Amino acid sequence: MALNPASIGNDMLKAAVTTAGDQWNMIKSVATIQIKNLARHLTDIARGVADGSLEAIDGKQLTAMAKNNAIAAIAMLTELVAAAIQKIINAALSAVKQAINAAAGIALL
Amino acid sequence: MTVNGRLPNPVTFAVHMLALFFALALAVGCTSLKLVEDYDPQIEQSLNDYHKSLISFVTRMERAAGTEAGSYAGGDATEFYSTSAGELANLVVKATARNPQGRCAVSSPIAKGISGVLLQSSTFFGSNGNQPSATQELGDEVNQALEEFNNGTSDLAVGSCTVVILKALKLNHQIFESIHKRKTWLKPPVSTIATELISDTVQMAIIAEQSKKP
Repeated sequence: MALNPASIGNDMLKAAVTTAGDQWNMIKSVATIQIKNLARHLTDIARGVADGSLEAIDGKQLTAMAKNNAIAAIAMLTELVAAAIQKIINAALSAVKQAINAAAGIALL
Repeated sequence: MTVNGRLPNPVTFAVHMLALFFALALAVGCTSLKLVEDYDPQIEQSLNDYHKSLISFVTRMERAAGTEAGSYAGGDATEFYSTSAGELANLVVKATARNPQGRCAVSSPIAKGISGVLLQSSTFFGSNGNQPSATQELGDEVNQALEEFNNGTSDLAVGSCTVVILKALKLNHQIFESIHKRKTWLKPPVSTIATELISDTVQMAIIAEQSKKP
């Protein structure tokens, strides 16, 4: 069976873009929520220490928790991007698997 | 990965990732890609169970504030903290065993890219943001923690991304306990902010785990 490289490329890109769009929207949404949460907590801590509703040591301990969450946010987003890349690539390969294997006569993919 | 501190659109992202993959695939001769561990439903369930027990415990402690039952040493608080700490430590061990060589920081260009965007963003906190000065000071402390994570000097820098999030949760649980111990009783606003911070950590751990589902 003859392979059409342009068609194969289009099929792969279409599958990848569809998967990327779904994954990307989810990552953007999650990143926005967590960054806003962090900013809100830091604002609450700063205000609390300033108005006396939090002791200075409370502020330090809560800020330490916020720091851990900032690192957790980076780790979470890194995991989400890695998982998204995995899904995008595998969706692209899956989209052309049948055509490639048929043309090769053996299961390459 | 980034353009002027902004994330690219999905099409650009997909094209770049395809090009990257095929370069890698040619180099190593593979036909499928595996970048994250398999989804583990037990980790998600354990996180949900921990969160439920935390919320129930905090509600009970806040109601009992000022009494013996609500004090750190007088009621069942120490038992809750030690049991939960054991469960969280076990989750970290379990996640580490799934990917002993996993590294989320330092060697990860993805992590560097993401934190680079955050640190440069004018909407992020810190002295380069648009927050009140007291918040900016705290933001600068957070940014410093991110820098330490990126250059590998943070205690949280070792392990896969899942391990890093679970270690952050374990640390936050320890800080929460130390707050209760120091103040004797859990009362708002301290307990409210601390509980919300832990809820966020749990949420991030669950989202990360769920992203591994096929």
